[in-house]
Amino acid sequence: MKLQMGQWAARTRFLPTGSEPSVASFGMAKLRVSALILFTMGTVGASLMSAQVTPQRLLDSAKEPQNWLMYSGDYAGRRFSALEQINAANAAKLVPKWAYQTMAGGKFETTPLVVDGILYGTGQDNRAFALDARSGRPIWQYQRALPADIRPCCGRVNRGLAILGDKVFLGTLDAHVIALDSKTGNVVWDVAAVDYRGGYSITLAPLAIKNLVIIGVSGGEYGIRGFIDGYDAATGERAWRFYTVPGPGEPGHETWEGESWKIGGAPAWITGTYDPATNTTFWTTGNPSPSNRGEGRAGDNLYSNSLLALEPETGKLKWYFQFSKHDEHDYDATQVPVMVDQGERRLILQANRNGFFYVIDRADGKLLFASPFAKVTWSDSKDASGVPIARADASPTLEGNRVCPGAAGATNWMSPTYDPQTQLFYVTAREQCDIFSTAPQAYEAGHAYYGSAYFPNEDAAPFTGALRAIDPNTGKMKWEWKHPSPTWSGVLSTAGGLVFTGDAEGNFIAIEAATGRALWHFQCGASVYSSPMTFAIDGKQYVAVAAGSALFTFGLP
Amino acid sequence: MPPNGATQQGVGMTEEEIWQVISYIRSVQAKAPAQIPGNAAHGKELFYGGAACWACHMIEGKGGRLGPDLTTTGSARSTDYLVESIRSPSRRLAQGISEAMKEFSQEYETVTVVTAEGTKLTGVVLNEDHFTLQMMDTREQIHLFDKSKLRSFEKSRESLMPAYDQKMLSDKDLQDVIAYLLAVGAQ
Repeated sequence: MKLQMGQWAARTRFLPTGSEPSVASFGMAKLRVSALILFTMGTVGASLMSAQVTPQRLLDSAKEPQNWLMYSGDYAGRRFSALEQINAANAAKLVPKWAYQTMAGGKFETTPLVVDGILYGTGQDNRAFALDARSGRPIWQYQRALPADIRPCCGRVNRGLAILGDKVFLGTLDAHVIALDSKTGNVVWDVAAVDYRGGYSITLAPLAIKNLVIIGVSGGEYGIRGFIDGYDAATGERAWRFYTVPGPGEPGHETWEGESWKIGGAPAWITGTYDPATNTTFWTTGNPSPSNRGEGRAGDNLYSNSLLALEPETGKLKWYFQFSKHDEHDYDATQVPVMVDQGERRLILQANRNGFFYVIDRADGKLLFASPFAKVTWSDSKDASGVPIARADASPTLEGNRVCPGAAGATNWMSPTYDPQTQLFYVTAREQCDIFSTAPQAYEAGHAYYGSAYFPNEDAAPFTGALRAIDPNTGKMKWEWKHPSPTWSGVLSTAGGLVFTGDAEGNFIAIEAATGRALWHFQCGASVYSSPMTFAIDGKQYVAVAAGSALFTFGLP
Repeated sequence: MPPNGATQQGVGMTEEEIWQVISYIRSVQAKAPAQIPGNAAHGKELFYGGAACWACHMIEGKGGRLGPDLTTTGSARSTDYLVESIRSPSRRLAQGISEAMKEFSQEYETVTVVTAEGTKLTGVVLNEDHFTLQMMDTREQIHLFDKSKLRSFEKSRESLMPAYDQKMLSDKDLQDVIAYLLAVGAQ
């Protein structure tokens, strides 16, 4: 039985009514509240563009910087905005504009989209919503009724939507791909990518390319066999599937011992990028299963922890680059692969969970260099092509083996950003080591399959974090902004000379991109577990970030 | 990514995951002793007397506020942990405030600040972020600071609590204090 709440939800009155309770939580002066309401009322009548989001618009996203058309802002994955109204000179004056509360528990990881005045986001437990981006008032709300026995490893989270035509696309915790009417939130089509009871879920924001919606699956903790799918955006019909663990007869199959490929993991749970010049979409994959035990899966375990170059129409593999071979430390490579051009060079930049910053030629997947951007102990040497290789004694043991970075990685899924103005790559770094222990574990379908238990690292100083600005030419750090504890916030850069990030202590912070100096901050009241974005309406720029159960927006007074 | 974003650990856990967590908790939790050695009554005298634990710790509403309330500590922690906390309090700082969505709890770190006016204050960190500090000084006064306005700010993982060595607290007296903590915790 499919239970869909979108239709009634769209007609359900949103509570609470009245602007004061939500605005009061900002701590704004009442005077300003009144001004905001007057401003909002004065512009509500303005007509909204209703043009469909064509594939061409997605290709030309740079021509409409007022909109945020995909998870990372553009196909290159840069999370950079050309908007500059909010800039280093006035950022100190930023004020809250509105908040939208999902009223749900758990991590709120969405990066919303904004198209012509309407903001589309996702919330915990597969909520989705469309808001008046000027006021935060809901236009429709959707929540999928989820089975009780879903097993997302790391929270009932979702990171966002894709948009194409008159539909938005959602991946669900029970591994469905759903198209919603962007004007009503009604379900247009709903397909099961796979049976979730095998440990599969979908948490990423899909990527729309041409007429296709591309998704990948989560479930590296459950002994899944990972894949990336392309669906026809109009019908939901699956156009292709690329298994990230090759089957018998396929290249790479020999990198798995025995039958281990069947439960080899290699999920793909962060949104990819797309290079129209070569018609290549870049996707990244996560850990082999079980994540912390190499026994029984001897070999490199392709294509776990890899960067994949795929043809978008067919899912055909053009090339791959594997970051962590035969991984035993849960070093998923699921960080957005950022496309950057330097002169003649067409590059992919990735600050990897394993602690190395990689610069890769995106024509052929050849590594140009890798250098650490955080503390690394799992590797102390490189192979002939410069790829870091694991120390023999870095493996988890029964008693526990302290290795850096820890299980959460030197960074994780939170987005980095590349600012073409400063030509710096900004990434959230986590300085956290862990004691990795391992024990044999039998695989049971749909059940957690780590081959390990984690022990907190009790004798070390508290874990810390930092926003680091890295020069992609050298891998060297230009500056860092220190976090008191590791954060799960991503980073946005803007042409206003700013980078925005959040911290575990609840601050949302504007930092001068060139220097690393903080110019402004706002206490959101709960940790930031999301990557910020920016948009503009009526010539006014806003910056948005999810924190706690709320989506906050900020702008100039 | 199992242990990460620790806020959602209870959701979607399978039976074996739950058991993994339980076995870990058991490894740090109190092992129910067959019988409590030591003299709890004498331990109570020491707590409120010669050992002066009460100056910073509260039990059942009586005592100080600078350190953690110890009313339930005896039931929540192993004897080994209690011994370590008294003999080497800086080795593992006690956990303070834990926020709903925050991955790591605040610990009882020591902080020394000099205010803009030149006043020097020492105490424990109640909470902290990049920009602000909430602390309690040794006179139990709460201070709320904007870090950028302080003349100096220094944190230490050296606990404000003295390490009770044999001279300050003999093994016998230590056993009595622990007996008191366990007796209170068992109530």
